[in-house]
Amino acid sequence: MLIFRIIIDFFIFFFKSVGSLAIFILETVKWTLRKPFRKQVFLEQMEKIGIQTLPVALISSTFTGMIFIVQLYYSLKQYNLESVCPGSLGLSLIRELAPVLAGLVMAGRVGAALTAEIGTMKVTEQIDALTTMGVNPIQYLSSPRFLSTTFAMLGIVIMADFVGILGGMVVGKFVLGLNSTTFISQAFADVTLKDFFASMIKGLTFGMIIAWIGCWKGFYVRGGSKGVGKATMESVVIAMELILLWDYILNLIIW
Amino acid sequence: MGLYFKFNNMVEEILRTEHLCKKFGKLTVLDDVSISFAKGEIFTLMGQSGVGKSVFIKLLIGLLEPDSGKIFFNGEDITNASPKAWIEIRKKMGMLFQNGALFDSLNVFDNVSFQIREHMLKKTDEELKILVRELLMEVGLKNIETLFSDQLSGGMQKRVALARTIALNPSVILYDEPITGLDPITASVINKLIKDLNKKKNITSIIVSHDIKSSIRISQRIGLLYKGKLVALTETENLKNYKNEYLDQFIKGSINGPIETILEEK
Repeated sequence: MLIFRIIIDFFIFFFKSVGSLAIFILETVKWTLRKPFRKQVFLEQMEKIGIQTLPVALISSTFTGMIFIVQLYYSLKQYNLESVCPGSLGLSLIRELAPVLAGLVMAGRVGAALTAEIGTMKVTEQIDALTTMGVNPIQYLSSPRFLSTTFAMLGIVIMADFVGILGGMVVGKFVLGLNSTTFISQAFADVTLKDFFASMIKGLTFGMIIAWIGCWKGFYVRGGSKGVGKATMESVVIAMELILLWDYILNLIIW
Repeated sequence: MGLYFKFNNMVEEILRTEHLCKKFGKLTVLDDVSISFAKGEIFTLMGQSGVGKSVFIKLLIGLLEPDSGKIFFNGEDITNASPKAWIEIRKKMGMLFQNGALFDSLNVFDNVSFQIREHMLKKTDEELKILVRELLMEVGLKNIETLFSDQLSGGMQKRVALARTIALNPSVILYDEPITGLDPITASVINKLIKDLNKKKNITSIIVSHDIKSSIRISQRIGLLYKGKLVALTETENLKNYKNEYLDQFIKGSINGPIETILEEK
């Protein structure tokens, strides 16, 4: 009987959470479309989320390109297929690796920061204070963060695509002895406009997921500082899992 | 029905609750609370920790919704007011939170001017600067505009929060434990500020506290909540003649009386 109770409790908790997240997403979108648009808060968040996360995301993408080209080179060399290395790297990075890795890095860095910041505001009654001052907390806190995370993620993914290929090219030239001009032209030879759009769509939607989960977990924090820590950890885990799930779904839809 | 204090015709009522009830799950936090507040009065609602005092003022300002009962502000029923209506109500009703609830990402200037900028009431930076300086002077502070909340003492944080609360000239201020955690001298400063604001601006002050001495000193009326019910309500002037076993026990801090102690509950 205990096992049934646990299963029932889990499903109740699951559906309650999904419902609460769905309402939160709708509220965020609704308040994002309404006036006033807080340009100052949006720009501050763009700086905090975009500019400050950029180095971490780009370093991750550069190393991914560097590692991946080595792996590709030695695997394909056995079949005398070294020449397809740049093309494979380009396609893999643009279609999959750059957006997903940037998403996971952003989920860890930005998602955690969003939950911790909003969660702390919640437990110190700053969110209640916003409400008593006639300001909608979702519009003030969630909407600018939603927009800035989404657009920052788009920019980061585009840059990560190129920086990853560049990292691969540097290793190709100096470690594997490949010609850099040929490398670049081959890396983009098989990449179509559809691949770039897919990469951008992934960036945009991963950004949305990170912002929604990060803000949602922050708004519903309970239990003081311990609760903030727990929510922050949950926010990162949920965002990462959802990014991977959504990536799988997008891959099925796009290709 | 509980206790209910009806004002005579000479006193103008600003806020009233009727049969207010609030439950969290199976726990009844407020049970049939009816109180009427006069314009410009200082009222303190006392009670032990966890009896629903903070819940009561959160209901008044719409942070929580009552399960039943009604709230009237300036004669209008605001119990089920729309979000748009609440924005207007909250311009006239401010709240000072227990720990100030200053926005820690903003400095003192941005905190105090927050409501004015949000509601676009002042346009130029110069006007804002003058207004913030005046508001800070009202609470006895100056030259701290660039500081952040973590650079301020507990008492200063509350004073800045008070300056922020009075920025839109509200007619009612709700105070949630305004002197809890402060040293006696800083507590007296906050109490004096509440009294001064009440006098100067005719602001109705509704205070939630468990500090008996200061409540009696600064309030015109006090009420006592116990197990969600309003069990005592009197004017502080008539306190000596008011016979109420709950209030007597609470004031004396005795463990013997109708108010159950933790030991008895166990």
